[in-house]
Amino acid sequence: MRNTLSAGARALIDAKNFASLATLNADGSPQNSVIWIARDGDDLLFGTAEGAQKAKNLRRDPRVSISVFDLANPYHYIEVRGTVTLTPDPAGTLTNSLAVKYWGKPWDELPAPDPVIVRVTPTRVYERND
Amino acid sequence: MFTDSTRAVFDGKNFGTVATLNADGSPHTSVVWVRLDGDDVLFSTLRGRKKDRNLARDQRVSITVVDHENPYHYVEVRGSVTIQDDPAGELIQELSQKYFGKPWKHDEGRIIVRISPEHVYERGAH
Repeated sequence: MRNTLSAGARALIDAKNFASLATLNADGSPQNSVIWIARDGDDLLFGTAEGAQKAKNLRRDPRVSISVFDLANPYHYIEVRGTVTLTPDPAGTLTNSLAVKYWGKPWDELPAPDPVIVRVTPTRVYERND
Repeated sequence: MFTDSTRAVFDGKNFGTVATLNADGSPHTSVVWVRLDGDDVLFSTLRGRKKDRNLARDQRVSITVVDHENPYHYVEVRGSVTIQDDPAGELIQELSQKYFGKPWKHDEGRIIVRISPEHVYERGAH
């Protein structure tokens, strides 16, 4: 099963498309939120903050699923499943680079206390392009 | 349960992303067409699909729907589902008209997944 990103998948992530992230709550139920996303090779990166529900969920269980579709053609989408590692990002470097990508300008101030970078290493990639 | 702006997100041609639980408890997401029925959220899938197998085992879901015109406006609904057969494909035909403006091909084993919301979170409404 594929665990790397095709050229089409890379293009989806590199464009200003929003991603939907599923993590697991303490009771095992899924939580879903919409995020900005970046790519580093075959890994996906997003930002959150210690104390956010996403971060609490990921500290408990690092398994995620992320779907990204092309806003211009939603029939092209990918699902990436994987596990995450969290790294402190005290300067908010990732959030700033994501703000530049999506907004065209850096974030004015730290987005939230204790920013962290979440790195998703894919275990499975599914792509659909009708 | 839903505000007007939440309803507007569902009523637009906006795609949903539904999260279900795999056998090992890990999350699965997929992109779906959606509509509201009163205060329930409906989507269509096929018997035997991953979503269906997951939901037969564990009925808990979370779905996000993003306003394509303004992706900072989105809704998350969490709840549990009930599933009914849709032999004539009524829901998929209706959704195909909504999103595609044309009928869906006929396929066997269509089901309607109905989410009864327990938690609704809206962000970026204005």
